[in-house]
Amino acid sequence: MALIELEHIVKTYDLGLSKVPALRDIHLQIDRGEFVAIVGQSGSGKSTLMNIIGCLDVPTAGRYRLSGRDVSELSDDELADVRNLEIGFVFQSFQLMPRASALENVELPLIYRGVSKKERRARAQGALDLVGLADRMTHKPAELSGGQRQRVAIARALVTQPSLLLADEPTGNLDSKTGEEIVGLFHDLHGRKNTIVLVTHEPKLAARCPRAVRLVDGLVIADGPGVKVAMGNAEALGAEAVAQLLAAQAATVQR
Amino acid sequence: MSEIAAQASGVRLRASAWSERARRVAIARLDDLRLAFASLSGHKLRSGLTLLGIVIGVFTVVSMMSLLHGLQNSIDKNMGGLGADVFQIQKFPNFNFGALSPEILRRKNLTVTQALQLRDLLPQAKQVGAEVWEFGKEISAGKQIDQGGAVAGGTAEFFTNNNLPIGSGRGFSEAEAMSASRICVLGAGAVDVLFPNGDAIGQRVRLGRLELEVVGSVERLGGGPLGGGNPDNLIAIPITLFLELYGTGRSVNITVMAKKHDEMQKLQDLAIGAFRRARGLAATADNDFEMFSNDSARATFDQLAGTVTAASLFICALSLLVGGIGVMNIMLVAVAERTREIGLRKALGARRTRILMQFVIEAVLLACFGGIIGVLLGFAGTAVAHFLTFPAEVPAWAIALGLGVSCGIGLLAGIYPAARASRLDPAVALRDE
Ligand SMILES: Nc1ncnc2c1ncn2[C@@H]1O[C@H](COP(=O)(O)OP(=O)(O)OP(=O)(O)O)[C@@H](O)[C@H]1O
Ligand SMILES: [Mg+2]
Repeated sequence: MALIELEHIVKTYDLGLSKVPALRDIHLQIDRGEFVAIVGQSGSGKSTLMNIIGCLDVPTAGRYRLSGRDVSELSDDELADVRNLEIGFVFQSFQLMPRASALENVELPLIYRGVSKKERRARAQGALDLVGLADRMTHKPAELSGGQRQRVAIARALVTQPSLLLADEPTGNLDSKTGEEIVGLFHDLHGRKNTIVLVTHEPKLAARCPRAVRLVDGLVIADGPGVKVAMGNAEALGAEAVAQLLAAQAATVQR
Repeated sequence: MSEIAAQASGVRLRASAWSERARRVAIARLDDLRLAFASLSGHKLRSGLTLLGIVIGVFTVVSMMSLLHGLQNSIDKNMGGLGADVFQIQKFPNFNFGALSPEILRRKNLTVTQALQLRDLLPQAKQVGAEVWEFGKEISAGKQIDQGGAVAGGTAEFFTNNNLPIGSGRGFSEAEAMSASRICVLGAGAVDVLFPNGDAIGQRVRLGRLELEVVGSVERLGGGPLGGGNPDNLIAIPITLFLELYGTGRSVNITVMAKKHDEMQKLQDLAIGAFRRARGLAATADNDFEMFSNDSARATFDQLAGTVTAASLFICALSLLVGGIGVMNIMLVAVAERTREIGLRKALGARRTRILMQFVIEAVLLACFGGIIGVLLGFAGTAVAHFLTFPAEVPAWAIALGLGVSCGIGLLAGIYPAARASRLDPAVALRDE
C-alpha cells in the first residue's frame, strides 16, 4: 500500500471575484521509503501540493489517503496528531518564531508530544548539531543568516524523527555547497528508510533524486527518474547549458 | 491464578497509562504557563494598562471592606460605652442623615426629674440613671494639666450602666450624686497625666472653678479613638454638680439597665409607655425622645455598612467589567498579532485544546496579576488608614473575593479570544503577513 495516494486532487482558491485553480487534477502515489523531488515553475502549485500532502490544507475536491486513511475523514485534532507524529515539514519561508532562540524553535514540535523539557533540550541540541548549528543554539532568528535560518527550520523538521519529511525549497537560500550538504543529509535520511518529498528549483538537485515529478499549471506533466524529469524541466526553463550537462550525465548513466 | 495475574497487570497497565496521561498534562500546563509568562513580560506596558480596571476594582473592594471591617470591630469594642443590658433614652437620634426635622428640634429637654420619675414608673428595671457629657475640658492637679478630657455628670448608676468598672476607691452614692458633692472619679488616662507618681485617691483636682476630691478611679479601658476619643481620659462627677458647673439648660441622657438580657425588648416597650407618662404626652402625640441600645446601634451601623458595601461592590463590579472587557480586547489583539505563531503551532501538531489553554491561561494570569496588585494596593491603603489612626483591617474574605473574581474575569474574558485562536486554519494562519 502506498504511503501517499492522491486521486483527482483539485485545489481552487476562491478570491471572491475570481477563482485561482492552483491544482487541477493531480494523480500521484508515493510509496514508503521513496525520495521524490517536485519541480515546476513558480506558481505551478508546488507549495499548494505540499500543504495538502502535509495535512496543513484540504483539497477542494478529490481524495487524499495517507497510510490508507482518508484524510478528509480525520478531525482537526487527529490531523494535528498526524502532523506532529508522522510528518516533518520544512516551510518555504522557514516559519521560525522570531522571539525564540534556535534551540527553542527546534524544541517546538516536541512540546506537543508531551516530551519533558530536559529531553526536549537534548533532542533539539542533537538536531541542531546534525545541521551544523551547534554553535548557534541561543541565537534568535534575526541573529542568523538566511542559510542558518533554513537549517534551523530543517532541524525542527527532523527533531521528531518523522517517517515523512516534506521540504519546500529547503536549499533556496543556501549557496550551492551548503545546499549540497543539506541534500546530502536528505539522502542519508532516505538511506534510513524515511520517505522524503522535496520541492526544488535546481535541476541538479532534482537530478540526484531517484524520482521527480514535474508540475505545470497545477497538473503533473512528467513523473519518472529524477535525471530525466530534471532534464525536461531544465529545457522548459530554457537553461540549455544545464540541459546539455544533464543529457550527458544521463548518457553516462545509460552506458 | 493466571487470571488474577492478568487482571492485576491490566490494572497496573491502566494505572500507568493514567499516570502517563497526568504527567503529560502536567508538562503541558507548565509549558503553557511558561509561555504565558514570556508573552506577558514581552508586553509589560500594554499588560499593565490593560489591568487598570481590574486593579481599581479589586483595590476598591479590598480597601472599602477593610475600612468597614475595622469600623465594625472598633464599634463592637467600645460602642457608645453602654453595657450590654442597658438602653438609653435621649433627646435626639444617634445617627441621622441630613438635617433634623423641625419637630425633632422642638423637643423639650430630658431632665433629672423625669429620670427619677421613670425610676418610680418602671420598677421592672434593675436600675435607672441619668448622665450628661462635656468634652475637651481641662483638668489640673497642681502643675499637672490634662487637656481635652471628657467630663461626665452622672447618678450613682453611671459606672455600671456605662460599663466603667471602678478600679480603686469607689463611685458615688445616690446622696452624693443628688447633692452636688465636690467629689470625682478619674479615668486611668487622667490619673496617668495628673498623678504620674502616686495614688490619686484622696488627692484634689481642679475642674473649671471647682476643686474636687478624687474618691475613685476607673479601670484602664484602652481602645481606639472612635466612640468619643480616648475613653480613659475621663472625669466623672455627680450630675447635680455638673449642672451647677455647666448650666442646667441641657438635656440629660437616661440609662436603664434590665435585670436580664432577654428582658431588654420588653423593658424598652414598657419604658416607652412609662416615659411618655413622665413627659406628660397626650395619647395621640408622637414620642418626643429616642431610645437606643448596643443592639439598635449595631443594627443602624449594619444598615449603613450594608449600603456602603453595596455601593463599593457596585463600583467594583463596574471596574471589573471594564477590566474584563480590557482583557478580552488585549487578548483579541494578541490573537490577531500572533496569527502566524498560532498557525505554526498548529502546523507542528498543537491540538485545539492546547492553543485554547495557552490563551486562556495567559488571560487568567494577566487578570490574576491585576487582582494581586489590587490586593496589595488595598493593603497599602489600609496601612495609610492606620497611619491616620483609622481602624482599618483587611478581612480575609475580601482578599479571596478580589483574587477569585479577577481570575474568574480572566477566564471569562479569555475564552472567546482563545477559542477563536484555536479554530484558526493552519494553512491560512501561516500565510498571514
Ligand atoms: N492563499 C492563496 N490565495 C489565492 N491564490 C493562491 C493562494 N496560494 C497560492 N495561490 C495561487 O496558487 C498558485 C500556486 O501557488 P503555489 O504557492 O503552490 O506555487 P509554487 O509552485 O509553490 O510557487 P513558488 O515556486 O514560487 O513557491 C499560484 O498561482 C498562486 O498565486
Ligand atoms: Mg512555493
